[in-house]
Amino acid sequence: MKRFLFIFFILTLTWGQSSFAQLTASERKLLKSANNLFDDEQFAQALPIFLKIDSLTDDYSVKYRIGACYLNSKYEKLKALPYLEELSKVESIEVPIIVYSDLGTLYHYTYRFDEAIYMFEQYLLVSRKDQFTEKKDIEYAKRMIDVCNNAIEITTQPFKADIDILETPINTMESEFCPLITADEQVMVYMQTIGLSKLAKPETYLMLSIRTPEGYWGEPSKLDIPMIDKFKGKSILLAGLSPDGQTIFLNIGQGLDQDIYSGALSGKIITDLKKLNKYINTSFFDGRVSISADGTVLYFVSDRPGGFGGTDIYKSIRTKRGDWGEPENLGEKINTQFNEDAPFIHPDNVTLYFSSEGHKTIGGSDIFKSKFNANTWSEPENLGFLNSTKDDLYFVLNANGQIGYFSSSKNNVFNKHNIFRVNLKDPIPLTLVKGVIKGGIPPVPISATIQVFDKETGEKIKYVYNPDPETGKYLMIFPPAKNYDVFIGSDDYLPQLINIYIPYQTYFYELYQEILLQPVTLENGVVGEIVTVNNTFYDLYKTIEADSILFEDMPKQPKYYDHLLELIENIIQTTDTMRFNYRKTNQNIEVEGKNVDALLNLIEEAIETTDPTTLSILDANAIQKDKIKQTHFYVDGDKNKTLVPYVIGTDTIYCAPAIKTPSSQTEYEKLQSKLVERKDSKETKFRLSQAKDRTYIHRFIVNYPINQDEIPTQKLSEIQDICRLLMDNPSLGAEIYGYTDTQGAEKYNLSLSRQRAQKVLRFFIDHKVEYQRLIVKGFGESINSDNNSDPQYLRRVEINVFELKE
Amino acid sequence: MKASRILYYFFLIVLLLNFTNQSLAQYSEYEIKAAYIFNFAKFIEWPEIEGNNDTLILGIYGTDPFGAILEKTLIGRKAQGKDWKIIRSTNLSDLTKCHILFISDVGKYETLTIFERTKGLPMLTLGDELIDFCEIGGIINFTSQFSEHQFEINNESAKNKGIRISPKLLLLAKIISNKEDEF
Repeated sequence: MKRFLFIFFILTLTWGQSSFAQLTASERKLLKSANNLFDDEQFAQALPIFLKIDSLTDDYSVKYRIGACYLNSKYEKLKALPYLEELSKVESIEVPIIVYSDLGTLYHYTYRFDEAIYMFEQYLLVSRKDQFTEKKDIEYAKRMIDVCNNAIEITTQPFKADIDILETPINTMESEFCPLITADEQVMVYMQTIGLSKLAKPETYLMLSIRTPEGYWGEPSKLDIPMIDKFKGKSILLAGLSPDGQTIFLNIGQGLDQDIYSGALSGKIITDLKKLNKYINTSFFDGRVSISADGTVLYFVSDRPGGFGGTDIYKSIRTKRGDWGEPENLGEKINTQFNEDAPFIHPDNVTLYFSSEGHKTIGGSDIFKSKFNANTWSEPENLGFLNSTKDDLYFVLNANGQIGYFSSSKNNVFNKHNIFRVNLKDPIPLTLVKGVIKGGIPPVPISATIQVFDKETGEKIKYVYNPDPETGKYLMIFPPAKNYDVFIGSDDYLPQLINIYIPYQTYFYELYQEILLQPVTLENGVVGEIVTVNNTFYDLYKTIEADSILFEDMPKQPKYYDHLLELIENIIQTTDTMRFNYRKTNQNIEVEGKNVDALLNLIEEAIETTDPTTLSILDANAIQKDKIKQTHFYVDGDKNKTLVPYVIGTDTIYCAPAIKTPSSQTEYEKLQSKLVERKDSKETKFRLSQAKDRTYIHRFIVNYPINQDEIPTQKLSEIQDICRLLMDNPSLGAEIYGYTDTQGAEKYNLSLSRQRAQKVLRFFIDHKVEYQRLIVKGFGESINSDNNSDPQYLRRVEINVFELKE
Repeated sequence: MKASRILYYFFLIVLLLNFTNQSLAQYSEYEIKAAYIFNFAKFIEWPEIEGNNDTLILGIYGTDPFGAILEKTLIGRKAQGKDWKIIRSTNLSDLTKCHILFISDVGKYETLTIFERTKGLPMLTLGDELIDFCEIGGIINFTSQFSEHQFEINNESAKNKGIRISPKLLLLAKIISNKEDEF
């Protein structure tokens, strides 16, 4: 704006007021006041006065000032067009040459880039002859020629993305901006400014919306900050959100003195608000934030000295002590002499999206993308299709790199922002595992720690979030086509190691996982734990977008393959709705009516015609859940003896024997497990096994009165409990060993000990435990293992529950 | 992965050979099981259940692996000219009027307890891949994927409860008989 001022200062000196001879004294006074307002940049107040004067006289300088006032207005820029266009055609000393530049600015604003370039060139031409021209005006014109050329190049490029404006309840008549989403796109926080076009002071609120199971954004609610009184008189603005949605960042301050705070977001309440350390917060402006998915790198905006000019993007790395270290400017590849803002680091940790007024902008602030590779940032790429000649800001992207959100004032006369959703159709091959961990009977969410290691390299995967103790939900993001060891630690249960395999894909992939930890109990305590792992994989559930990418890779295949794939695609197409809904409702597929009918008729027909082939195909083709249920029994009743060492990288960890989910098994292992299941080896394996191959998990002793072989009634319920354990766990066997004391004849005692054991066996059989799993022996007279020769302890049956070693 | 993909394509080729209409598209395990349940009702006759002649009641005991699938498949469709009603409960006494009792994810001990408590009720017990389900008295049990048969039937148990299973179903099933005590 200052360039107008200077020129008008000159003009006012040279013209005097000679050309306004036809005005009355009071009108001249009015004009003078308007000029003063104009010089003070009070354009809105000056404009009506100039308009009035313009109706009385025909003067180029007044017309120019009207144009300039409009150009500087917030919502009426375009009204400057007829004034400036008229003036640009007049060759008069009274017309300031800056009019060419201003008109160029307007043409650029309205996407008339060729005309804009012509005007700026015109300006540069005439300004050469004008000794009062300011250097920065020349620079501006030169830069704008570049910007217009960028715009011509970028806006004519074809693009694949779909951009949609979010519907109500997110976008309203007010201004919504700065959308931030979680990596799984389930939660969005944004800001809403109410009363922007009114005279009253507009107010800005922080809003939260949660995605409904149907996939729409739910009714937003205001975020609640219980400690808000502490910040009276200060503005509170959104600054960032961690990819798991558990940490929120806010800018709190006055005017340009903004500081960054972090808080815990739970529901719609922000608690535990803390100002980040002095490395991050300086006396200068410290603004928008983005935290990497693994929580170790913080990107933020600051105008502290030492940068490249304007606001720059910095990064800070979390120190070993958990605090933020000294920040580092991202360097000249990212930062320019203009303003950079709104960094967003994608969960892949190498792709940075940010806004800049520099680089190859097509005008105002544009959204750029740069990748960190080989220690350097790539040349920022203008996301042309998103950007307009106005300010485009605040771009965020979900974990698959496909769905992004941003806000823009595009197409809005009042400069009100709206939130847009963009489908980039350019997914990043990453796998997002959303899981829930529960424990106990009935299962409730438990707190646990989760660590994931690359099985091949032993490297720890960084993008893993521990479960929320309230909900048991956790989130993991990692690259595909690999085997991983998931290590789960919790207070009440054995540490578990679960192998999972993430299939190869060229598309984004979501995996739902459910882990259940439950105790196996007998009346007198816990003897083991059941671990259930339920993975819902989508390798057969590719989305339409994923298909298109997959199929693009296919032409290398022989020709008939294409034809086959086409047919497959057709089949998949018919079940698309099913697959989409499957993604949303986790395990429960919603089926289109017609598909259900088809399936029902198919099965009915197969039964009617007793056609086993159709049923077999259907079965072979069924999409199964990747689930496994495994019971770990405590060795000798001792939890710790169950733990086995695993070497991961350079560390050794102790945990329960590893669990291999079906998807992580090799074909050979799958075959083996099938064979083991099929072969009815129960018959022999328990009875023929040797004592050294048995791992004892529970020992129970029944004592008898003299010369009795009936099970004492008070022991029945405990023995029944052991029957239940055996019944529910086909992997267990039991020794039933009978003994007597040393009184009486040896032969009689041998027979009595057998009687005792047989009676217990009978009880087991009556309770439906297969006899093949029971080893029954009578040993006659004996001392017991504790060398306790008290006869009442010698008269006994030992029930030793065991598992066979692998 | 490669092998399983080849397998996948193989099955799709098999599938295409049998391709008469689009209905052979892929379904999930529980969609198929729900469809079986619906069709079982067409091939099974129950004795009269007092006070209920116009609905078929499916009871889901304990864990429900179906979710909304069951409603989508059964509700609004008639088998034997009757509408379906679905009752989910962890309490057996809520389920005594069921025609079919679906049991998933329970141990053998609990299964036996259920049989014990539903003795004499004309109820078709249906196990979800439960170990030895038919051997210990269950009527129909789904088998795991890639088994020779998709379900097992213990017809003796059915007869004992007065339930008549169509020979067509029996032909498609693996027949299991009551396990005798081996003494």
